[in-house]
Amino acid sequence: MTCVIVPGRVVEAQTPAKGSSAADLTAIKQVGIEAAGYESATSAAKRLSAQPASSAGEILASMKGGSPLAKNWLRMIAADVADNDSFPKDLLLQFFADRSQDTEARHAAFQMLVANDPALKSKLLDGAADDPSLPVRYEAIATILDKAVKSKDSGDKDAAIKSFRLVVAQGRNPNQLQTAAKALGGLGEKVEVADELGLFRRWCVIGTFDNTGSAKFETVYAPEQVCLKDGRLPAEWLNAEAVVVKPTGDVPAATTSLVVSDDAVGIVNLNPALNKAKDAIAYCYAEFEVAQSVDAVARLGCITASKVWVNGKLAMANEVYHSGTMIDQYLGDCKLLPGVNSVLIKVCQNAQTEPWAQDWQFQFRFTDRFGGAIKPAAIVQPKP
Amino acid sequence: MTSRFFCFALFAILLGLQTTGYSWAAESNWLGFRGEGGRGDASESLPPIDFDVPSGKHVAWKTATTGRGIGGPLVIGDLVIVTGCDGEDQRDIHIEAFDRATGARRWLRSLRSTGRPYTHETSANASPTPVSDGEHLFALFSSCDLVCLGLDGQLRWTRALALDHPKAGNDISMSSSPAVVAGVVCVQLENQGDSFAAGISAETGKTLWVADRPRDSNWSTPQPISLGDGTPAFVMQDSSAVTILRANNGEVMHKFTAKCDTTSSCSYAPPLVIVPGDETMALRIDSTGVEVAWQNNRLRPQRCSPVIHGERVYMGKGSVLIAGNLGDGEVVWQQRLPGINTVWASPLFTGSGIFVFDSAGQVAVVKDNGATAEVVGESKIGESILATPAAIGDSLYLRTDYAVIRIAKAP
Repeated sequence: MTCVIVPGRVVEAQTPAKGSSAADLTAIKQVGIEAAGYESATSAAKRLSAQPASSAGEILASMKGGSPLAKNWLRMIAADVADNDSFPKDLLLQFFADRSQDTEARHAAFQMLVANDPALKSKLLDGAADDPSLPVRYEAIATILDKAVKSKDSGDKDAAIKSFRLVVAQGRNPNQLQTAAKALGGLGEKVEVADELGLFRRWCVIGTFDNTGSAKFETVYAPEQVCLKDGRLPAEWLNAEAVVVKPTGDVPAATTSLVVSDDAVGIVNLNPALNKAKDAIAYCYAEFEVAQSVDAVARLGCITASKVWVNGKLAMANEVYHSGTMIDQYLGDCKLLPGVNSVLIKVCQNAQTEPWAQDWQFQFRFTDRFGGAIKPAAIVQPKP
Repeated sequence: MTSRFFCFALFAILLGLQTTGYSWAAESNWLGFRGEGGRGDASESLPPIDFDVPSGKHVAWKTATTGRGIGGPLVIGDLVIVTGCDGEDQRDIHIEAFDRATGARRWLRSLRSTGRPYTHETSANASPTPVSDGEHLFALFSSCDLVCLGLDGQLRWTRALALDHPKAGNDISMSSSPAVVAGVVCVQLENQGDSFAAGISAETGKTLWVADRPRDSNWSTPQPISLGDGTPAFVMQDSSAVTILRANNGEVMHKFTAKCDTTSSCSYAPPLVIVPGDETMALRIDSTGVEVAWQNNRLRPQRCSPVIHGERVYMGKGSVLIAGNLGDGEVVWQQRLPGINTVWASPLFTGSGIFVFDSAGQVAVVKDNGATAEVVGESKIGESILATPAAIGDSLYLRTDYAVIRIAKAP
C-alpha cells in the first residue's frame, strides 16, 4: 500500500493490480544498478510494449520521478507502442506542449514526432529557446544559431547580431555560446565568453608536490588537509611566492603563484608557472562570494587527474590522464552558501613524454542545476 | 510449407551445421563487427568494384541516418541496422533499422546516455558496432549504455553500465564492440578508471560475471571462439597480454604475454586466432589446448583489424595492403593503394576483390593473384566513412558518418 499526500489529508492509494499497466510502469521505474528489478521489468516491458499507440502518453508521463535508467526503458517502450498502430501524433503534440511534464519525456516526445515527420521540427522549436527541457532547449538554440548564420551570410547584420545575442542570453550549452560569441566578435560585437560562462580565470596555485609514478592521487598534502579541516586555506598561503609547506626530504618547498588565464574560454595553463613539472601535483584555490544559497553544479574540464573540493567538501575526483578534455567534462553537485565560498582543485601531472601528453591545464565554473552560469558577486582570492 | 520442403530444409540445415558449423543465419546475415569470426570475409559476395555514390552509379539506395555513427552496419534478414548519436555532447543515442530492399526506415529507438558521451571529434558515442545472435540485437555505446532489442525494435532490456561502474569512461571514446556467444553478451570496457569486462545474459540482461581488466585505454573488441572441447570463450587483447575467458563465467582459461594492439582487434578462423600487435601472434586452438603457432613483426596492421580468407591473412596499413600466409605469418606481398591515405574501417574480402576504404570516401579494390596483387577497381563514396562495411550477395552495405548506403549492380 502506498500513501499519497495531498494538502490537508493523507489518502491511501490503491496498490496497482498485478499485471495492470500501472503495476508494469511501477516495475519499470524500479529498475536499478546491477540489473536490480530486471526480472519484473522485462516481463512488464513485454506487456507494455504490446499496448496500443494511444498509451504512449501514459508511458511518457510515467517518466516523471524516474531514474535516468528507468527513463530509458520507458522512452523505448513509448516508441514501441507508437509503432503498434497509427502514429499518435496529436497525443504527442499535446504532451510536448505541456511544459509541466517531465523534461526528458517531452524531449522523447519531440524526438518521436520529428522522426515521424521531420517537417515538424521547426514548428516545435519555435519559442523553445527558454524551454525547461535542456535537450529541447539545445535543439531550439541550434536552430537559432543556424538562422543567425544565414542572416550573417545574407548580409543582414542586425538580424544576425540579434539572433547570436539570443543564443548568448538563452543558451546553456557552452559550445553553442562559444560559437555565438565568436560570431559576434566577427560582427564587431565584443563578448567575453569566459565571463558569460562564469569561468574562473584567477587562481592561487600552490605547488608542486610529488606525484612520482602517478601514485599520489590519494595522498593528502597540506593544502588538501587544511581545506578538508577548515574549508578554507590560510590567507598567508595565498600571497604569490609564499612558501606553503616544506615537504620532507630534498623536495623543494611548494610555493604559491598567481595564475591568471587570458584564454578566451578560461583555460588555465599551469605549465608556465610550474616549469612544465612532471610527476607533480598543484593545488589551485579561489574564494568567491555569492549572494544567496544555491544548489550548484561544479563543472571541470581537466586533461589530467583531478579532485575538486567546494567549501572543503569533495565534489568530484577523476583519475584519468591525457585522455581528452573539454569544457564541463566532469560534473559534481555542491552547495554554495551566502557570503564567501571556496574552491580547491588538485591537478595532477604524470610523466608521459609524448608531445600530446604535455598539457597541464583546466577550466572551471559553477552553474545552477539547469546549466545557467553562476557568476560570483565578487572574487575574494586571489585578491584583485 | 509442405512437409517435403520442410524435410529438405531441415536436412539442408543439419548438413550445414555438421559440415561447416554455420547456421543459415550465419551465412545469410552480417551479425557483428567484421562478420563471422571477425574475419571480414564475404568471399561469396560479388559487389561492384566501380561504384560512385555521388553520381548514383550502382547505388541501390542511400538513406540519411538519425545522427552520426561510425560503428558498422548489421544485415539481418530484411533489415539493415545501425546506431547513431546526436544532440548536446552526442548524448542522444539511437538504434534504427532500414528495409534492406528499399532503404526505408522500419523503426527507430532512442535513449539518453547515462555515462560519459564525450569523444574525440573523430570518434563518436555511436562507435561500437552492434552485434546480434540472430534473434536479439545488442547495441553498446561509448557511454557504456548497452541495449537489447528484438529484431522488431521492441525493448528487451537496457543496462547503464557506467552507473554500475561510475569511473568507467574514456573521453577519446570507448569503441570496443560487444560480442555474443552461447547466450552471453560480452563487453570489454577498458579505460583508466573502472576498467572491466563483463558477461551479461542475453535473455535477462543480468550480469553473469565481471572481470577486472588493465586500467588503460583499449579499443579492441573481444572475439568469441570455441575451445578444443567446444567450450565457448572470448579472446581479449590488451597492451600486455592475450587472455581467453570462459564465456559463461569469465574464468581465465589461458593467458599469453604479448604487446597487442589496442586499436585493432583479433580475428578467428578456426583453429587460429590472429592477434595483431608489435608481433602479430597466431594462437592455435584445438583439442590439445592453446599454443602460439607463430609470431611475426612484419605482418602488422594500422588501426584496422586482420582479414582472413582461405590461407591468407590481410592487414590494412594506411595506403598499403599487406598479405601474409595464414599458416606461418610470412608476408607474401604488399600493395600500394591509389587514393587511400587514412583508413579506420577494416578491409573487406569479397568475391570481387579486397575492398579498402579511405576515411574520406575513396575506395580501392585489390585482387590477390597469389604471389602478387593488383588494383582492379576504384570507387567513390564521396563522404566520410570510418565504419567497416558489410557485404552479402551482390551488395555492399556502407555506414558513412551520416547515411546508410546499399551498393549493388544495377539490374
